[in-house]
Amino acid sequence: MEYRTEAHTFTAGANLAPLPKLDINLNLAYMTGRGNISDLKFGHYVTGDVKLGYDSSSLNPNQPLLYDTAYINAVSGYSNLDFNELDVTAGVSYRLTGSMGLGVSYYYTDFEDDEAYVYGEQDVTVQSLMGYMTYSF
Amino acid sequence: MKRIAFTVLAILALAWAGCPGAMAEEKVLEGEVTLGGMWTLDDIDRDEDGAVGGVEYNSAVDKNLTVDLGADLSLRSGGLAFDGQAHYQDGDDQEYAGALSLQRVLLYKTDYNRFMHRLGHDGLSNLEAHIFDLAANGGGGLTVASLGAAGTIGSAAVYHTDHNPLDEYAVTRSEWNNGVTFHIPMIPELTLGFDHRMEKRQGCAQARTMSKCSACHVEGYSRGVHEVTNDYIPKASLRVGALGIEYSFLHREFNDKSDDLEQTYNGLVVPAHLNSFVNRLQYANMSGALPFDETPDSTKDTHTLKARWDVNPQNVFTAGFAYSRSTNEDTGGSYDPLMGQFGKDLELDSTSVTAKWHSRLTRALSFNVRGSYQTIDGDDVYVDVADDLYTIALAAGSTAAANRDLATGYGLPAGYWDFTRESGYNRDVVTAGVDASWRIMTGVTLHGDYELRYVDRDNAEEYEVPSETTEHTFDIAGDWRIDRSLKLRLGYTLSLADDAYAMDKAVCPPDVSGAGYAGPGTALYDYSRSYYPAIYHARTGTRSNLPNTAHEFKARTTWSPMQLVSTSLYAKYRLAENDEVDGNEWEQDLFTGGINVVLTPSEKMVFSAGYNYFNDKYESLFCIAIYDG
Repeated sequence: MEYRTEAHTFTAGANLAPLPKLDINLNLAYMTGRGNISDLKFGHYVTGDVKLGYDSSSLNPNQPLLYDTAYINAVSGYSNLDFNELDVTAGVSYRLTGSMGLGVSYYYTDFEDDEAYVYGEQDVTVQSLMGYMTYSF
Repeated sequence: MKRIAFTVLAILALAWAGCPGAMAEEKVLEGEVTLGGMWTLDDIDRDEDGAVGGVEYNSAVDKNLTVDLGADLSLRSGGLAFDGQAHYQDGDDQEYAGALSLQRVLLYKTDYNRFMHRLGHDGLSNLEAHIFDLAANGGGGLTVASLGAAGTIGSAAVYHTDHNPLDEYAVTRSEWNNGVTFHIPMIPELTLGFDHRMEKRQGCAQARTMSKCSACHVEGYSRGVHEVTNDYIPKASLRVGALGIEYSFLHREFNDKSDDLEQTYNGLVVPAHLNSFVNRLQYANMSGALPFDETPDSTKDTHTLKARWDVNPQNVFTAGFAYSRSTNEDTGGSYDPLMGQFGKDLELDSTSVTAKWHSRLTRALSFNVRGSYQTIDGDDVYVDVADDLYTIALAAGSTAAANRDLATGYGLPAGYWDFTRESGYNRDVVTAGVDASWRIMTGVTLHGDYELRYVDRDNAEEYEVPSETTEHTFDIAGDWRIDRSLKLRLGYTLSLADDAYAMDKAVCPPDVSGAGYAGPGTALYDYSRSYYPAIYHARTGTRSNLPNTAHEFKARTTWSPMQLVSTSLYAKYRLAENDEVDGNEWEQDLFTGGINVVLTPSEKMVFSAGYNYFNDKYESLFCIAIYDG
């Protein structure tokens, strides 16, 4: 069998101070990842697996009580990865006086899971807004 | 409690600063406090409860509104110096640090951090492989639900039960470090110290266990997590002329205070058509409720001695010795084969010595010679196989004879299967190496390194692994400063191993893969195809997930064509293989590389961008034992 993972990550950021009392920052991060197992295959033997719709009674009247290798062959799909994640952070801070300041930050996270299995679909989108005041002495 | 400790520390520092004797002209108190709050516009669950993608370590997004508090304080007054930082965002997201110095005689440092880690919830839905139709009777005239009841006919089946399907799992980890150092003014050569570290893991996680014989019934339960680790480390160091000696003692205690989980397993199922049946189970529902998923309490004591001798400005010798004993505290009770108790605390001893010689021959050439030896010795364990006679209620109409225990079932004396398990840890490890750095000319430096590692395992035959492994690692690298704007670093590492760690009987003979299993027989129940002859005994091939040859290439360049632009390119390629295994070679093919660009048009503007590519490919032989009932 072969297991392969591949990921691309892009980042970008900017920090600006257009005014003496004003600071602005912006950060972006995007990641996309894939992973899969290939060349994992078991041969098929005749079973009477009614869940899979197999009826081998004409070949083997005893229909042995075994599950089918089709279940094992499905294992290769359990490790599949296919996700995209975008994170954005933006912030502005302004110094009111020599010792007092105000700031606002915005956070955005979006995670898309296109190969959910064991832990279920992990899709998440979160936006948060933070406000703060600083006092220096 | 840590918040209180930090506050007390700050108050003590401020009180000291306020004392008349402590007041001095140079008193400086400066800092910053932050008061804020965060509003989460969307909650964490977009599509499904328990989703953790992208917010695995973010606890604040669970709530719509959280406070965000911060402080940074610095105080200098006479002989007192205090620095402290604090950040509180949520009950599960806190970070504090503080350092206090009194006349440079007493130094105290502390830090605390706490965060939450969301864990996944395995619905276990992939563990459903059987021929039975859940809604109606299947091929055997049974539904899967009947497999757990004693007296039913056994059959090959894997099925699952998640007893807490709606629970979400997370563990909060916290670590608190404290260190006190005392410099005795009358004996400046001597320093005394005491460090303490406390780590806690608290929360809820998923525990799994499985019944055997009748069916593989995998069951999941919610399990409380409450683990505490404490390290106590007194230490002393002495510096006499060119010789420095440091001694420390570590006493570690690990306690799992989580509530015990217990499980009554599925019943042993006796095939009703057989005239005799040999019971091979170690436990089943007749054993009653049994504990599972436990972590034993343990302790560890370590003595460490280090020495450094500055022979002259060009030559330095360092040496070290460490002895440790790790003890499993849960094995000292009366004998219990399930819990591994055998009347004696299990112990693992490790002794190691290290030495290194550093020499700078010229301003352009220096080298290190190093070596180490470690021996590990673990206790043997006597394993008393539970071959008790089980009384089973047979299926109605069965003609089976009385059930028999394991030993008498094979016509053997009781206790025949008992054995002493020797420790797989027992080994001696020797390493030796030499490295050198040579500045050939201005802007060009070469680095070379060679290391030999030899492992001798005492009980290799019992564990079917190589008794000896020898590894050679060659590393060469070069730094080239082409001009003031361009720097280049190239490196290559070659790793060779004789008898890399492997499992000697891991897989079926690859050339007849699958042939060891003949498929279903003509009889309804053909137990001649049992695990031992068809699965375990058929495994004769050696496999490993470690290479015996590995090549690794690294390259990195930084280019700053002008003052406002900085660029770096980097790449790593690794090609590893193991051709000593049976079947096709184990291979790894990994590449990662990227670029970073920073643009600084002015002091008030900084732009950055980056890209990274990662590609990792493994190739191996996979051998899965198909459950045959």
